[in-house]
Amino acid sequence: MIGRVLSGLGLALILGGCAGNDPAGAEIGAIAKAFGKRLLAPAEPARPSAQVLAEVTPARLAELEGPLIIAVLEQGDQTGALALAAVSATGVETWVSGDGVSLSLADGVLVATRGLAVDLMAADPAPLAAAARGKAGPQSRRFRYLDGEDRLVTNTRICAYEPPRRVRIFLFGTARQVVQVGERCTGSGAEVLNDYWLDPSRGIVWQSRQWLGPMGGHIVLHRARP
Amino acid sequence: MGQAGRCILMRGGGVAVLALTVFAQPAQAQLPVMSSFGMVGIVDMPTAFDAPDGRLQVTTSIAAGMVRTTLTFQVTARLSGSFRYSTLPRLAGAPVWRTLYDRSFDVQYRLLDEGRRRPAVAVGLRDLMGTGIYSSEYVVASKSLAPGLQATAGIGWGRLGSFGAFRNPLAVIAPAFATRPGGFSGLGGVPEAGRWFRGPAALFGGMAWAVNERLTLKAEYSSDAYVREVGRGVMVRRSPFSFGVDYQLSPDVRLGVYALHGSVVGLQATVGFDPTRRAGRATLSPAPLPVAARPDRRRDPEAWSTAWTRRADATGILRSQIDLLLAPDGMRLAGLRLGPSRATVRVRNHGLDSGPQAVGRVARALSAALPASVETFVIVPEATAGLAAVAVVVSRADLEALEHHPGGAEAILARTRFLDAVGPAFSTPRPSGLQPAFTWSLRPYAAVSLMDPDNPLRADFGLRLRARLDLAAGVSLTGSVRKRFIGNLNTVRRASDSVVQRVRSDYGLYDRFGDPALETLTLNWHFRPGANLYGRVTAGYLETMYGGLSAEVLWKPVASRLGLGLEVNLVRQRAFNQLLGFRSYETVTGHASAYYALRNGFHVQVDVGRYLARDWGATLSVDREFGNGWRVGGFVTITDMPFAQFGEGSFDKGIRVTVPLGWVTGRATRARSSAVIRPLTRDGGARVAVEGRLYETVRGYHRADMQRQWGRFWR
Repeated sequence: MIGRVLSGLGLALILGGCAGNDPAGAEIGAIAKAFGKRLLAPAEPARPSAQVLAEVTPARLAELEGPLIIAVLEQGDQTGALALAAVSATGVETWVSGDGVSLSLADGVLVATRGLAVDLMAADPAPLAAAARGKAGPQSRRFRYLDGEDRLVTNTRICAYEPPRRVRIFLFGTARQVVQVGERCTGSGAEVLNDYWLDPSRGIVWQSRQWLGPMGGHIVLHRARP
Repeated sequence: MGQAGRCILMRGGGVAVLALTVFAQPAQAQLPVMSSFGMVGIVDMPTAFDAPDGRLQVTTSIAAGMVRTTLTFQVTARLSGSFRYSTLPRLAGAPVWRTLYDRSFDVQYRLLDEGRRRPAVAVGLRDLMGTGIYSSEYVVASKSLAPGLQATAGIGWGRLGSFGAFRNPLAVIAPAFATRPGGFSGLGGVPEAGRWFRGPAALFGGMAWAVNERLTLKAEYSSDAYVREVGRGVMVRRSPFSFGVDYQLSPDVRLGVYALHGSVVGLQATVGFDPTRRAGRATLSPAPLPVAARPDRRRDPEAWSTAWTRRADATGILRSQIDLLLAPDGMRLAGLRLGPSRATVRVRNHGLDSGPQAVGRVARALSAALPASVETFVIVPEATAGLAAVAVVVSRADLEALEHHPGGAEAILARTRFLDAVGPAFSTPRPSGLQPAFTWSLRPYAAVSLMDPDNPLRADFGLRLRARLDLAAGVSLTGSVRKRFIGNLNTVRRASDSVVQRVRSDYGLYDRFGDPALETLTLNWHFRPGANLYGRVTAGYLETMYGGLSAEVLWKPVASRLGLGLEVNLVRQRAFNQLLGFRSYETVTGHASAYYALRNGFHVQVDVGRYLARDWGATLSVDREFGNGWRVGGFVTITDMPFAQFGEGSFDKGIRVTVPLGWVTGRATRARSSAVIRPLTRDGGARVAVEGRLYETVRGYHRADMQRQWGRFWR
């Protein structure tokens, strides 16, 4: 007369102790702990990005080695530092943070992220150098994401480039003469606005504000060390 | 050694955890309005609309003491199926009225899509194989008249043709349609096709109006006379009209209150799960290593030299480097063979739930660790310790060229070869200190029993100790012991009424006397008997009720969607106390199995053979599997055991759901939570449960499964 549910891992929240060295299951413990903590005490609010950026002074940058990007995620106003980890055979730079996020930039244009909630798996590069000379026509760019079933989906957008403008920006105490290029991409149900501030003669994008994807909002990248 | 013991607060992808995570999701496709029967509908009546494809929802409704809990799955865009458990006071027994505990199963199929002028049209069978309390069939049409306003009209038979009935219009075709046979055949649980669309018919209809995004008002004219309920004084039926208010609390939760037939107030709640999107916003795992680019060969020919192969310690150094790079993802190097231009690596993956992601990360680790002259990576993931599942051959130059290409996933898949990792070409010397050889865990467990009329929800909670000792390549000793701390499964007093050999129906006695319980203790051997062949021998205490010897061989080419298997088990029934002793019943069971992975994500399995009660027959299983690991499916087993001997329900059947825990938490983990729901546990068509059956062990790394998730290669 009785139907049964035989549950492999259980159907209830159980409090209790545990132990073991089985690598296959240890991750669950860590997840549970993090989850429990989140329920009991909300995470500390991140320090405002303006405050963090103000602390990045030329003197402090001089103490560091190697190229460095300071990134600000607009959603949640989180700040992080990224170091250059690899340059691919095709010239794409991959920058990594200490907390397991990486950003891949093709001539300063975001073409991939890893370790975010919804990653940009791949994207076409943008013709920034031509746009800085006012010579870039509308361009079709593909942006690829993983959906909830782990299938790759492609959002194709037409990107147009605004006429370049010469502007002066202040970056960590240094004034820089740069060219500002605006990129407007429309299609696949979204209108995306990106901005780049670059030095075309050196091929360096000193600053940019780029869209991560449907879940991520914009990220602002400041090149702290070339 | 492995990681130090960690503490765990919670185990399982349990309901409590799921509910909290789904609450936090951004608004997406809304839940459709559900009827009190747990299908897309109005108050009691169905509509022709469907839930979004793949949706799973649980609805509970209470009215006049009648409680219905329905699990509905949108099997395909057009087909939905529901399983319902109802507790209905006074509706059973005569002359003394008792509570009826009823299980019913519904299907609905949408024949026509809604057009600009044309309504959607669906046909449905309600309670198509139960004991018949809700037995009814209908054809229904629904149309959106204005934004938020939907109208529905339909014709019903059976229970849905019990009020305002007229002569069955189908009787024009065949006079037999005019009358509906009563009762149900034998012991229930078989499709009552001889009754479908027969007897008097009646019309029903209704409207639903979404006042705003959250609030929906609904009204219907019902063709259900509630004959038995009114006759036994469960409720009064004053009018054919019912009204309801539905409130969408969150994208996955709906609450409703309704007035039934002018006399009864009902409450209902629906919780939905959408396997097609990921819960939570947490990351799957930290960023992988980038592919390390090699120096230009013309400018730096020295870096491409193969002189490193002459160093005696080269393999040892590279092995420890690779192991170091794999460790953060929960992978271990199980073997390495190096040539000047080719590396073969065996990997044990304990951490990543996705085969392509595991292979992709191994490939990137190799690009970071190996000298530039090594051009070809042969990656051999082990399905279980010592059992090579596949050899994935990747070119290092392709990795370097395609890492950031927008079409890089498809391009690398097209250039990657999947080979059978059998024979000396893929053998690798085992590192001497492959650790840990002994793994163990002590964790909480929960066991749940549903739908016992004496107590529809019973559960046990306690601790389970598992251990595994790897003795040699493919040979291991595993065991698990369980101790209950709190629970009431041992209070089952309902003795088996089975008239055949009690191969499963004595579970109440196992629950009652089996504490503490030795669940399993087996010596296992997994091996490759030949090309495309996989073998398994398991001996010992195989499961809670049986011990003995189980042997299996599987034919499954890596690129094939078809697998064929043979299994033989010599088993003896274990003592009720689940310690070392046995009972006197022993038997030989075995099956020939065919497995097929369809291109649309459906998996079909057919097993033909001899079951535990020495009955011969076949099992058909169909599962829908989502790319992220969710599975929802069902199975039926028909054997030569006569329905009369099988008892209530006539034959074995059930539904099953598997939730990957990574889907719930957003972290990389191979753990999953599974539940099998059988309306009845009896003795016909029962199989022995053995851990490590080959098809499920092996197929995750084979081409068909890898292709489905290939997007995660670069993740």
